[in-house]
Amino acid sequence: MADLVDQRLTAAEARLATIAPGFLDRVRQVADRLSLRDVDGTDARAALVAVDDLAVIDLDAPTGSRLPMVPVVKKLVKKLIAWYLFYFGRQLMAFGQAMTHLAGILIDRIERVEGATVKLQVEVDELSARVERLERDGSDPR
Amino acid sequence: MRIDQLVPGFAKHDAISNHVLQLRRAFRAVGYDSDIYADWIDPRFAGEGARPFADGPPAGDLERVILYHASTNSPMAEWLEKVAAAGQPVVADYHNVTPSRYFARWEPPAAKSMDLARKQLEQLAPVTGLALADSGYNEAELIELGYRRTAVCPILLDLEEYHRDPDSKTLTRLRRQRERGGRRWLFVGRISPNKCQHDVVAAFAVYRRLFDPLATLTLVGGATSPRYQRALQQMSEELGLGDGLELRDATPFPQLLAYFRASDVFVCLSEHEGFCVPILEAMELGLPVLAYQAAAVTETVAGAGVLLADKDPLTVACAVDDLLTDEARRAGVVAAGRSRAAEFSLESTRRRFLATVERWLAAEGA
Repeated sequence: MADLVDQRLTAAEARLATIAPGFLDRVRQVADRLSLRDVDGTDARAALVAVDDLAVIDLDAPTGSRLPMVPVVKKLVKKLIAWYLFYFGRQLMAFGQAMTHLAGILIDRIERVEGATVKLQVEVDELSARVERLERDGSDPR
Repeated sequence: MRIDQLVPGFAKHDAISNHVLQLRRAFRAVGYDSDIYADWIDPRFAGEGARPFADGPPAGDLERVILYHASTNSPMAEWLEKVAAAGQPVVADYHNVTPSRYFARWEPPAAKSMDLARKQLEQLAPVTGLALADSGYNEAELIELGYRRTAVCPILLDLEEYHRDPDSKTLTRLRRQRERGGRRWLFVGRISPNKCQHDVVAAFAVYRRLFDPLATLTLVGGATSPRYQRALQQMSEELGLGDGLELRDATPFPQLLAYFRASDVFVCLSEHEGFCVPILEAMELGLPVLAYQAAAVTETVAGAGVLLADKDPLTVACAVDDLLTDEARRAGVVAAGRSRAAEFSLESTRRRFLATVERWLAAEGA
């Protein structure tokens, strides 16, 4: 039974390789990108999520304090510099969000390039096999 | 004697909320006073009589049992820990918490919330009198967390409701599409990394290339992770699926019924489920189920569907083709699915739930 299943899969894979060369590898690679993985320092998407979260800056500074009168002073300073804080903060936030957007685009492109590389590798392997076969047969591959 | 239920969220079209409602009916029917307290109440479900937890939940009356539905983190858990330590009888009904590792790279705050939910569940273990679980898989998790007295009680689900009339407009549209050719794949469940919709999309892409270029796939469910959903849409574009993939967010119940009726196969490649109600829904409505054997899925399917040990796109695509092109086999799987769904009739699950709780109450001398 297991042999029959294996034969069926091998036949299906061969057929798919004929009608859409490299497609199966590309599908597997694209699906793998979304699969469960331990998040470490090298996971680009996890890093992007962290940047995305940090790109929103809280402009409403806290004014509480355990020391008497300090909250009043903090509130006064906050009021005095509010116009500057909002002017500067909004630009910083817009910059952060633009950077996140850019990083997202770059990650998408890198992942597409990785996908294309896999596809090209498959094609190179196929061509190498063909060249070897032709050389073995004694004919000139050119 | 009272049995009051505490549920963090009480929402329309939510399996746990419907289970809670069915339980209240069951408790009241056999003579218990019973109310529902929720931390968050969906405004569309306000007419169902749940009370806000913030208004003052019941405590102090030791004749009252509190049944807590655990599935997410909630301030209810901390409150319960205190009142249970003071002698309040507490029963937990565990519907599973998704492991945070599935969300860490997509939605870090959600991952933290899941870790907290597990911690709260662990803290409730020493003060809980009885812990119920939807499946043996969930029960094993409870035992591992230190719960002493546990039992499996399936979720209460009125499968008769699935035989209501589907939305005629949606059904007509889907049938017209079907007349143009192409098999229809369906998966129902929130768009969430643990449910692995990306594996369904991958298998579907291979199936279309190999066997059926006009096939369609519908994924019904709101997005638990919007980032994962965006990645799924991008994946679909990269694989050139075009109109072949339909993502449906909030789908009213009659429309959902139309999707079940108009589909050919239910494909579930989820890696983590505490039970997976949509599998039973598909079985009840005569849709053959093909699933990846993981977590509680194996137990829910229980041989009444095609279970796969491997979910490589080629394996899944071939398995779906084998199932749909062998009419005798397909009919056998459908019949087995209907029998399996019948085991979860409301009458039998209600009886089982009440018997388990009453056995515990008798043992406690209540």
